[in-house]
Parts: sequence; C-alpha cells; structure tokens
Amino acid sequence: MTRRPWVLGAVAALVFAFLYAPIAWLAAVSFNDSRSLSRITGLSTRWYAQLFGDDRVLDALGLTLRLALTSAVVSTAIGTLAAFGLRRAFPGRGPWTVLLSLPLVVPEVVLGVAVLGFCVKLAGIPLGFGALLAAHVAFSLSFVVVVVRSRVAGMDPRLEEAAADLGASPLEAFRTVTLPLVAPAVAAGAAFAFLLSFDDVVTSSYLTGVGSTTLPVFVYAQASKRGVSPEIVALSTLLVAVTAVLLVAGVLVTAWRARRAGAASTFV
Amino acid sequence: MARPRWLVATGLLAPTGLWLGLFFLAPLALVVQFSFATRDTGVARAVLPWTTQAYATAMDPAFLPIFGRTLAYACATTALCLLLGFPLAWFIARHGGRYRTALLAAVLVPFWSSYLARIYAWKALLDGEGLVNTLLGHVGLDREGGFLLTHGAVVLGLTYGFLPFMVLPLYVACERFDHRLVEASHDLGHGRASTFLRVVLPGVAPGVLAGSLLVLVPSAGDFVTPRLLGGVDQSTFGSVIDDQFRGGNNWPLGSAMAVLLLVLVALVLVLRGKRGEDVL
Amino acid sequence: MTEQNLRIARLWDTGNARVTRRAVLRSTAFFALAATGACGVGSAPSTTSAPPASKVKATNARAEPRLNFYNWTDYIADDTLSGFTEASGVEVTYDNFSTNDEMEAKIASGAAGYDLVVPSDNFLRRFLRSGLLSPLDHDLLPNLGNLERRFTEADYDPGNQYSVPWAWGTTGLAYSASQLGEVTGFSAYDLAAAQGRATILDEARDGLAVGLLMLGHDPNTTDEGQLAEAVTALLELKKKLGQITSDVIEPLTSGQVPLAQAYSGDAFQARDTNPDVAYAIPTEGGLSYVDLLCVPKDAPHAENAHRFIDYVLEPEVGAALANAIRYGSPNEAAKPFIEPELLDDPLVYPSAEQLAKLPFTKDLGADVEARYADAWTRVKTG
Repeated sequence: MTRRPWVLGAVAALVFAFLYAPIAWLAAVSFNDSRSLSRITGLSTRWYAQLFGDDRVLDALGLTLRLALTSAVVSTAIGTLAAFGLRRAFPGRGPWTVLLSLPLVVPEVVLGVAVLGFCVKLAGIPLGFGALLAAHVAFSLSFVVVVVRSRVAGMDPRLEEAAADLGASPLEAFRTVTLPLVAPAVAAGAAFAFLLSFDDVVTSSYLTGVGSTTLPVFVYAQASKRGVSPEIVALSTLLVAVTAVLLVAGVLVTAWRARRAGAASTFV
Repeated sequence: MARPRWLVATGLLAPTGLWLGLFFLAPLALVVQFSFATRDTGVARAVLPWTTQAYATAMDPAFLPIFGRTLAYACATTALCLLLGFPLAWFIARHGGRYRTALLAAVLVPFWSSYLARIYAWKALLDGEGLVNTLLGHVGLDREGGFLLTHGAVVLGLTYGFLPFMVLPLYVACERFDHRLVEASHDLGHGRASTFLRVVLPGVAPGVLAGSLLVLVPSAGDFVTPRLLGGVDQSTFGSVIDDQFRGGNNWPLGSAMAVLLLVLVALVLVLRGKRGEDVL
Repeated sequence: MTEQNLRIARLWDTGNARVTRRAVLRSTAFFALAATGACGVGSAPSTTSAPPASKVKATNARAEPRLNFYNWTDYIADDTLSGFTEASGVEVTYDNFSTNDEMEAKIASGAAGYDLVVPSDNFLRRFLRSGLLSPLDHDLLPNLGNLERRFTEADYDPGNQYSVPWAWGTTGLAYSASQLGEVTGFSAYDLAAAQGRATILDEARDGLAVGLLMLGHDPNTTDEGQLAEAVTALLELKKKLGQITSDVIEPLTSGQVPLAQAYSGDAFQARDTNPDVAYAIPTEGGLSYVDLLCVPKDAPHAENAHRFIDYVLEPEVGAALANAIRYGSPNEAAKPFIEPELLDDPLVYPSAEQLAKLPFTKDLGADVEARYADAWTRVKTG
C-alpha cells in the first residue's frame, strides 16, 4: 500500500484532538490566578504550590495509586486465567458467562452499599484498602475477561498444536506462543482495570475508612461544596504531564533504536 | 486430554469464581434480601415484614420513559464511540508502525486526570462563554447559553469518558486482522465499501462486540456525567436507583430495581443460548 | 454427564429424599447467613421517641490521644483542629463526606470507627430512632451553657441529650444581583433572565418546601393533598429550571446560575468570591436547619470527643468557626467575637419575626416521611 493514509490520519488526529481538548483546558486553568475554572483572569503557580503542601490530597493520591495498581494486577491475573478457562465449550460455561456479565450491570451505589454491609457485618473486613480492593476487583474482572476473550476467541489453536508437535511442554507453549499472542489484550485489560479503579467514585465513597480516602471520593466531596478546586486541576495536569513525558521518552527510545537498526521510515 | 475439559476450565475459573462469589454474589444476597423488606425511613432503611411491595413499585410504568432515555443515551454513546474509535483503532493498527503502543498509550494518557476535573473542563468548554460556543459563533452555529443541560452534552460527555473502552478492544481486533484479506478482496474486484462490509467487519467483529459491550452497559449506568452536564430532562435510570439509596430513602425499591436489571440481563444472556457464548 | 453433574442436576428434584434434605439445609443456611448479616434488617422500632438518656460516663474505649472526626467538606476553620490539638494534645483525623446518606450508611454499619459525626437535624432523629448515638455526658461539657436558648430547647433534641449544634443556617434564594435585580420571593423563578438556568436543591424536604411554600402551605405539612399540589407545582417549575442540584457555590460564583435555592452559608461563601451574589429569605418563607455534633454509640474515643465539643463551645473558638464558614453560630457567648458585618446581617442572623417563618424540618413520622420521599422521586422522574 503506497498511498499515504491522509484522510484516515486526519480523522485520527481529530479524535486525538477531541481526547485532549479538555486536558489542554485543564492545563491552562491550572495556572489561573483565580479559583474560577471557566474564566482565566491571570497567571499564577499558586495552585501547584498549594498542592505540594496539601497532605490530604497527596495521601489520597498515594492510596488511589496503590489501590489501582493492586486492583489491576489482581484483576488481570485472575481475569486472564478465567478468559482462558472460557475458551472452549464445557458443560456449565453458560452460567459462568452470565455471572461475569452481571458486574457490568449492577449499579455502583448498590455494589457500594452491599459490599459495605458484607465487609462489616459478615466478613469482618475493615473499611479502607481491603474493602475497596474487594469491590474494585469485583467490577474490573468483567472488563478484563471480555477484552481477553475477544482476543482468545480468534486464536488459531494450530499454533499451539504446532508448538506441541515441535516438542514444547504445555507451559513452554503457553509462555512462548500463547502469551505473546494475547499480550495486547491482557495489557488492555490491565489498563482498563487500573482506570476503573483510579476513577471510581460512587462505590468507593461507601468503602473508605477512617483517615483514608481515595482521590476521586475526596474530589467529589470537595466538588459538592465549591466545584473542583484548582488544586485538583493542577494535580490532574501534573499526572497527565508525567505520563505524557514517559510516553514521549518511550517514543524517542523507539525512534532512536529504529535509526540505529537502520530500518525504513515509520509510517507504512 | 488427560484431564476432562471442564475440570481444567473450572480450575482456571476458580479464582475469579471465588472472588466474585465472595465479594459480589454474597453482597448481592443482602441486596436481594433488602428488596423483599419493607421500607423504613429510619437509619435501618429496611425492616420486616417481608413483602413484594418494592417490586410492584419498581415495575410502575412511570419509570419507563427514564429507562428508555437511558437506553437511548447508551446506544448513542456506543454508536458515537464506534464512529470515532474505529478510524483511530484502524489507523494505529495499520499505520502506526513501531509507534503503535505509544499511540495507544496516548489514547489513555488523558484519563490520568481526575474524572471530575475532566467533566468540569467540559462544563467550562461547553457553557455560554466557553471555547466551543465562541468558536462556533464564528460560523454562526453558536447557541444562547452554551450547550450544557442538553442531551447532546450528556452524550458528548459519555462518549468522551468511554472512548478508550472502545478503542482498545477494537485495536486488539484490528491488529490481529490479516490485511492480505483486504488486498485479496480488492484483487477479486470488490470496492472499498463492499470489502469493508464483507471482509473487514466480520474480521474485527469480536473487537466490535467487546468494545460495544464495554461501552453500552457501563454508560447506561453512569449517572454522574448526565447529572453534571445535563439538566432536569437528562436524568437517567442510574440516578433513579442512586436516589433511592439517598434522598428518595427507599432501599427496598432501589434494591428491587437493581435486582430486576440483573435478572433482565441474565435472562437475555440465557436466551441467546450457546450461540453467543464465544464472545460473552 | 458425569456422576457429579447428575447429582447437581437432581438438587431440586424432590425424588431423591437425601438430596432434598441437603438442598433444603443448604438454602436455609444461605438465607440464615444473609439474615444474620442483615444490614440492619430487623423489626421496626416501636417507639418514635428516643429512650431517656441515662447517666452515662464518657470514656475512651481506646486510651490514646486520638480523635476521628467525620464532617461535611469545607465546614471548619483553618485553626479549629490545630488549636484543639495544641490545647489538649489530641491528634485529630479529619474525614469528609458530601451527603448525609454516605455518612449514615457507614455509621449504621457499626464499624466505621468515628468518634464525632455531624448529621443535620432531620437526620439526627433517624439516628436516635435506630439507637446509633450515645447520650452526651454533660459533666464533660461545662461550656454547654454558652448556647443560645433556641438550641437548648429545640424539639429535635431537648436539653442537648445527644447533640450539640455545630452551625445553623437558613434555606433561601441565592441570586446574581446584576442579572436579576432584587429578588424577594419564589416568583423570581419566572424572571426571563433565569429561564433554563435556575436551580432548586436536590434534597427531598428542601425541594418540596419550595412547592409547598409557593402555594402558601406549611413546609412541615402532613396533608397528603397539599403534598400532591406541591408535586404538581414543582413539575411545572421544572420546565423553567436548569438543574436540580445542591452543588451551587461554583455555578453561583461563575454566574452560570443566576438563581438558586441555597443554604445561607453556601450563598455567603459564593458571595465572598463574587460580591455580585446576593441572598434573600423569600417572603413566602423558608427553612432553618442546624448541623449537630454527635457521638456514635461505639466511638473508640468518646471522652476525647467530648473534650472537642467543649472546646468548640468556647466563645473565641466558636466565633472563629462562624467567621470562617459564614454560617450562624449557635453560641451566645461567642457573639462578641463574631465579625460585626456578619452579626448585623439580617440574613445570617435573622430577626425573631423572620425566624418564625423559618421553621426547622420536623420529624413527621415514618409514614409521612415516606410520602415525602416518594413525592420527591415523582418530582425528579416526572
């Protein structure tokens, strides 16, 4: 295909613009002189200064990151296993798929209240990290399973059979053939689980414990009194900036490696 | 196979089953229990005697318009996500080259900001004096008071929030898609549209289905975005349920509604039979 | 199918007696388990009044200089907690909630671990009905006498047996003076500049009060007909509204919302940032409310909680609090230290005749409260 994909590329660029428009606005507002999120009156870095001194926000951020990471690891691990378990038909597969689709439907407040009751009254799990993790993995599993299954569904079994024929043990075959093939889906599932946990408000608000709160719950509680504070906007901008920098670094490394290997230009 | 298939399958599914059994089904048992209780406006919120009153109230036809509206939002959001997400996913898969992972990660980067901050940013962008209205004003398409408190704002907000859930599964499918099939189809004389419909779409179907599912269902339940970007005519079924656990003060009703939703979905899945089991 | 599958399939088959008994036992166990863990599902309390407060001595179940305080967001002065820690040596863990319901759900679950919570007056009654609060030990509260009479003899908790007021305010109309001129009553919702952008509060009693007051009824009415009329009036009003929301401070400050039913303190906070925001007590009337400091029954540091309550009742501390959050202080002795502009403001401290038009939301009994809640659902979904 020698024709450059201009139209498609333009459309893709527009979609990226759509994705980044509010982020650009947030970045602009984070330097706003006043508290307003709608009108920029002057420039100042006071919100960043305030952010670094605000222990409550930083503690909430720390908890939220730890929680999201743990939830992503757990959900992805057991969700990927489950996706493989559902690969071929077996008696009872139907009920499993029904079970896995229910967390997608259950309203957040219902899950929050229910897990609160369960953890406190039945399971003796203290509110806070434990209860939050329980609920976050519960609603993330479905996403991981759906994504990984969509990849596993079309996987050609002959590749694994070929590996077996060539003398690989089941574990080796899994490691060298299967896993690389599903890796993109597993990574996508992990990304989803992380995001879902990182952004969860309603369910989490029922499960936070004394002295600890998650960032979204904290922001939501604050927002109800005086909108989203510019401090949070500054934090958001910072988080996006950090991940963007890491991304750009990754791109540069990729480009540098390509140049070193003398490969042809990137866009095929 | 040395061991029976279902044994291996069950073994792989066991951790998930355990987690969901403990932290999803057991809590839901409590919810089911609530749904059969009598409402109480005290702190207990649900007391004896057991009754099916909540279900009778939940099936009140007065809730149908809101249910319909919620479904409409979810469908519109899914359609829009497909429209925006497919070109993007296809572009990254086909033309991203060695930067594919970076481009995908770039799709996710905006979501490191706080969810509420993003919504408030849209509020600022869409209101009367916001950037969108100002820019559209130059071409005469601006609207008095901006675009907030409209159905459009809600769908826009939902689409924005759920786009990654469509793009990633679509990418996974597009990446796997053997492009030589397209070339073969061209060679055989089919045009672009025909090739797309009969070769590409079936080939990426698992991704389309997965993405659609992961957008349709959760967006139907998201009530925070419609609450913040919409007005009085944009409330959703999710907010009705949420309200029952808050100001509406009727835990049995909220529980009954949730149970009915779950039963509905379970029924649909059971009825589709073995045919759709491969995808979900 | 294997033997195992066969047995599972037969679980609900009444043919096999052994399996049936097991099945019955299993389902009983399941429901029993769910029932014992029941999130508070039990028989309805028979009395509506709280049991008399026995002489209870507040002690710290856990002997440590800590205090877990659960309060609304932005509802404290910068130095209240630090001042308390300095004065008493007790470290305070301060958490926030944004709705009464969240706080209630956690306290009702019994294991939240908080020593002090701040419900509103109408939620206090629910807590009392379910026996979730411990009576206050007045021996540890010598400053109780600083309170205004209105708050020591209020009918939500006469004699302050379970609660001490934190701050009080009124529910009225906040508006943008530049966009609407002067607003005196609910007829402002008909103003052209407010169409499609005005709001009412997302609270059952407060929202319905708008409907009731517009029609000249008592916001604490028990009459079903009047309530139905209010619902109709509100459904009409909805067509002119922008949103039903309690998050009004930022929209008022930015001018996006020119007219909002709002709590007085919220209006004043908005006014601080944007002097164009004004607040009015409607001629038709409004509501008063008070947020109350209470000690949950299983508080691990009850004694420290009492020391904090007593600290807040000190005149200077109470005044600093009121000055910061812009709500009315219930503390009579604090009056000399409150900013004169607040004291002289009839909106923050209305006159006695005005207060007569600003009743507290009364506890109307379980049935009527349920009807109000249903009416509110109809307003929101209609």
